[in-house]
Amino acid sequence: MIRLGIVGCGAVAEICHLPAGQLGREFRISALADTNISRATTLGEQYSVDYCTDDYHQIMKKIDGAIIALPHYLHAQVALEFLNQGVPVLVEKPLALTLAEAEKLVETAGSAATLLQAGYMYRFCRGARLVRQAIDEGWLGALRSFSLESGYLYNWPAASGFNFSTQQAGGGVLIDTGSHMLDLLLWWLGDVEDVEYRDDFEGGIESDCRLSLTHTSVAGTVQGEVTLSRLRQLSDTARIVGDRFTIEYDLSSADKVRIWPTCRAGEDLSFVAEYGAGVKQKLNHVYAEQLDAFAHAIASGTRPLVSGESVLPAVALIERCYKIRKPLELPWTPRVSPPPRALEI
Amino acid sequence: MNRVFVTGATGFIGCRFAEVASQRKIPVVALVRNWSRAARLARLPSRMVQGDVLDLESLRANMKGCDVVFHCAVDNRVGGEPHRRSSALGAANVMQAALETGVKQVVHLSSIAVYSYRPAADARTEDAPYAYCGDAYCDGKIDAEKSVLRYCREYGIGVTVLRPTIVYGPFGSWTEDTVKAIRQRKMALIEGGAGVCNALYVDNLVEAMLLAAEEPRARGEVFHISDRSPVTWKEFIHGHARALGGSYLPLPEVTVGELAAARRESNHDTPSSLQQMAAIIRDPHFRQMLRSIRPIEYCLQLGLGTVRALLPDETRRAWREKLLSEDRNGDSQSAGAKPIAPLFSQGQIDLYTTKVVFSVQKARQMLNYDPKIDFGRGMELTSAWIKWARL
Repeated sequence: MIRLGIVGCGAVAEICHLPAGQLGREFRISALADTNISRATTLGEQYSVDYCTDDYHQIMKKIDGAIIALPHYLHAQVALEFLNQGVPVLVEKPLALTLAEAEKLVETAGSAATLLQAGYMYRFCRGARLVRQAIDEGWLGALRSFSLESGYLYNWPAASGFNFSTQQAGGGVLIDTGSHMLDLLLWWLGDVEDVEYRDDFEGGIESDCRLSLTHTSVAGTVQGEVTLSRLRQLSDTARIVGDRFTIEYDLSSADKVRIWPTCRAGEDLSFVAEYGAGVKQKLNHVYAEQLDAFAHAIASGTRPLVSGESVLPAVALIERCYKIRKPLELPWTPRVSPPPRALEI
Repeated sequence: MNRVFVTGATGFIGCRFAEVASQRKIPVVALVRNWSRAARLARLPSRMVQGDVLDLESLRANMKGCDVVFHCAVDNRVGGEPHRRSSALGAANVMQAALETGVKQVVHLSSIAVYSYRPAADARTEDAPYAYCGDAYCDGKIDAEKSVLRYCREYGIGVTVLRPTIVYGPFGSWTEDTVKAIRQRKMALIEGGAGVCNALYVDNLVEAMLLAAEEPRARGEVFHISDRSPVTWKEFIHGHARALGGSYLPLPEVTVGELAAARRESNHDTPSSLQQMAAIIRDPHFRQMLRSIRPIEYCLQLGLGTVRALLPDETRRAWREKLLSEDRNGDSQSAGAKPIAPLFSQGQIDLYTTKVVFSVQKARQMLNYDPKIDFGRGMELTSAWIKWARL
């Protein structure tokens, strides 16, 4: 049984990793580290974790792999320490705040021959895998367009305000939700050739953004739009239109996919597609599968399913977007040029 | 203004104020009680600080260096007497911290609710008497006003009280609730919608707040803030219905007599304890608060696990849908089946049938208040937001 330790006991550890630990087949959560020791201890008691500490250095020798679930700005720095000590790491999204940091992680993992997995868990969702299969095997025909919307009224029960700090979070909804969504699109549709990016940034971090993307792959070129929001409920779907079939993945679920003939759009002809053994895959199962895959890769010495290297295009695309950002039109209020950060006190 | 402190900065009015202030290059220190509500505010260059108006120390620590305070916070976590007490205590804490940290001016957002939901005819001007009515929100607003004005009298700290009317606009609860009620076919025009709606577009209020902070003669004064001229409730509600494409028009109409008769029959105005419990459980803040208490979260997980194990999937889904989705789902088709009359509380009936027009003459004279956005323009902007927000 592989022993995993969680570094950072914020909301994602509490809501996702620790409950998933109870479903894992190949691992158990054996250590927790958080500067807030009372939080680590409370969670440790709740989930019967062997060892809790306020210093993550203390767990390096006690575990077979570390899950880095810290505020974004600490991902690369702390992951590097573990990698340099030969401890495999799974880094929550975003892998790092910048492409340079992410590349440094990949390079370090390579030279230390240590495993680096990225916590881009959507790739373990059956629905997402089915979309990938549909595209790869040409079920949809030639790809015409795509659209992806992910938005909800933000209610993440953050234990701290780091998620709203440019320095600590690296950005807003784009680097947060967008890390997952853009990684999915890149995984499905190939590299991005062209991008236009607009958001509602006014000197803090963006809460709503829109990307116009052109992807290119061996299957050809396809254009589409991505909308991400923390301020409004969007459809939470990713739709890919081919000239034969259209496929739509419900992003709020792990495995709900609908397919219909593109020429009969608007008619009630869709059917629900299924991937796997017919047993419903819930989101906590996805986290458990992600950690099982991590544990399996550690035990077997094989490459992880979602390697650090494989998410570099998503990190690069996000960095590119922030560099070319334009104001998003908010039709109820005139936009002014974003004030300089100097306005901050 | 060199630097301003805003309470309630994650809310509708406080956040719009912070947006406008930031656009005018006024540095804002924004008090955040609940990070999960801070996404809109976080777009701005404001400095967000964690705290609570019920926590005096958090105010003292963060108000230092600010010369003006805009007190917009309302505690929606609790109702009844606790809500009333927290309104007064929050206002007193804000004033105490302002006094101790050398703040020059406090702009306190009150409400026309200080006249109750059934304002007397003389309430058109600010010198009308308070009207305690037993409603926690209304009575809390009175207590808070008294508290801040006492600080002004006794300690000489500059305070201006604004009493906004029906504040609507993007992200506003009057707009969201009206749209939701129309979509769910729970909206009707009482007495043909002829009652007076003292509508106030949020940007007009923000202008008044900025003017109040700058005008020395406004110290210790109270001002009604409303649009230049009122509309009828029919205009207000129809304006929101048209933003949805107009397919909800015409809206049903109901008389006060029919409402009274319906209430006698159904006794809906006093919901059963089961209905009250369901309403509390549906409240997302309550559920989040509950989950933050670890033993309760543990019991909930245990209980939910047992329910999952024992009940068939279909039954669970049906229960959950019934309990949680009633408020969320849009186009309820049950309008014909359910009588609409019992859906209005007495407070709403009073509000929708009032004939009182709140005068803004004093604000125009003393603050040079000149509301630029009339109802037509306000609804254009609001409609654009309604479409964007996909309400």
